[in-house]
Amino acid sequence: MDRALKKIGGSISANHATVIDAAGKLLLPGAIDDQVHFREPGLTHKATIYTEAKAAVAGGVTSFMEMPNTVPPVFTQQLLEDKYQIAARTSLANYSFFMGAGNDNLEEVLGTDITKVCGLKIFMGSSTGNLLVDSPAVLESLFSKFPSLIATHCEDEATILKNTAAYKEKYGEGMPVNYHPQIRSEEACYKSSSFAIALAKKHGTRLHILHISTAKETHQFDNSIPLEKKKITAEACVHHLWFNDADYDRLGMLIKWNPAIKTKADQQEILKAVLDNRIDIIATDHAPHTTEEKSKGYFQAPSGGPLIQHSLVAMLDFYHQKKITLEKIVQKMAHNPAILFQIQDRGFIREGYFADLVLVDLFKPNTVSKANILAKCGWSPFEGHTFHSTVTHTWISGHLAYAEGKFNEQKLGERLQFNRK
Amino acid sequence: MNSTLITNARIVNEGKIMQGDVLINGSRIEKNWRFHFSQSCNSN
Repeated sequence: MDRALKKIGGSISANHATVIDAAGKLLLPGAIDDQVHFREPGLTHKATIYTEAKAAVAGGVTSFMEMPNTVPPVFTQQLLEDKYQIAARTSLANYSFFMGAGNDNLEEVLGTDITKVCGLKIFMGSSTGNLLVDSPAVLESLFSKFPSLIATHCEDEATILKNTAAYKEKYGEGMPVNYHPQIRSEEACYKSSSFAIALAKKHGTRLHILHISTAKETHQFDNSIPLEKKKITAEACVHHLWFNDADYDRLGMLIKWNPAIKTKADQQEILKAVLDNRIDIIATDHAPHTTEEKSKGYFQAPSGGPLIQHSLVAMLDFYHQKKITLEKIVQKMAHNPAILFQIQDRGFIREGYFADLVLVDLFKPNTVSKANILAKCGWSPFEGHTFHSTVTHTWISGHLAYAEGKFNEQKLGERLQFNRK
Repeated sequence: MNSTLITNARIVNEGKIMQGDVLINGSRIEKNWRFHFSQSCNSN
């Protein structure tokens, strides 16, 4: 029986409780973001777990799962636990960290406690850091032996290198970022994601493909079975839903991401796939770099940008535009991440579950400016944009961590646990 | 143990939007009282 239905039938009175009148506001289960880069350890000039977790909480994200391309890369169980210790000391939001796959750390990978770690990340395409795994033999081994969820960044490295050389020869060092989607091309994405899917089908792997960026890739995913039964799942990111290649002229390197933001047709099909459940969840790939780093030329500027403070309100703007329902936003940003990763007692408003909750004023506008950006890098591709809605309160495991622009850091977030055998 | 009662919210949860109250007791949701099913969507 649905646990949330058990106690329906009477008004709640609690004599000693703090009462918050939420009249006119939405109460949502906190968003769970399964792909963030908080840059600690090793890259703390860009971001820290402390700063980015606060940005998350202010944006209504109550739990995050962080990627292993920090410095040093998370190739050992000790390095993985080191990150958990940092988060235990500093993270206002709930947290989990992916184990990293390299070309020679299989034994360490297989030592992962799948009830306490969200999954294994494989970079089947290079990005920040050097975690590329492109050996077919290593991939076969990882896909056949890892007993839980494998999350992949899928872009074919050989295709990218070939395209990079061709565009560099044609346009030189001053090449504009507008050609990024031709270098990090549809072909590169499809070749890699279709290969990953074939490997997963061969070995029965639980595969989750991150940041789908092309229409072509969306047709590889099944919406005929419930999420709980899927072996292959997919994620869309806010920037691939919000921007398209027409935005490079205006925003330049600020929207240089890997995989690249592509055409309007891709953008529209990704949203369609989210709505019809070919794509299961919405995340950010929050990946900050400094303004100085992003000010370099195309071949030097790193890919990625900060999004986590604005992912929920961005999706709520799509609601205001009648592109998506409130229920679907909650499904894709809270319920489905919890189901997909088998997170224990979070992601739903149910009696007995952790109180990870968010209050939203759907009609209180907020304009993004450097004065209110919380990510350590201090910039956002949304600067100047006025969102229709505002997150006013965020509870993390019952603790009111954020209220009307102010943080209460007396209690920190918790390590996510997973219902896996 | 600290308790918080959130009242009169429009709760968006499990494919439905409902008016209701939520009682938090410590780290967990103690009660979730709701009424008026306004709309629904298909869940995945």
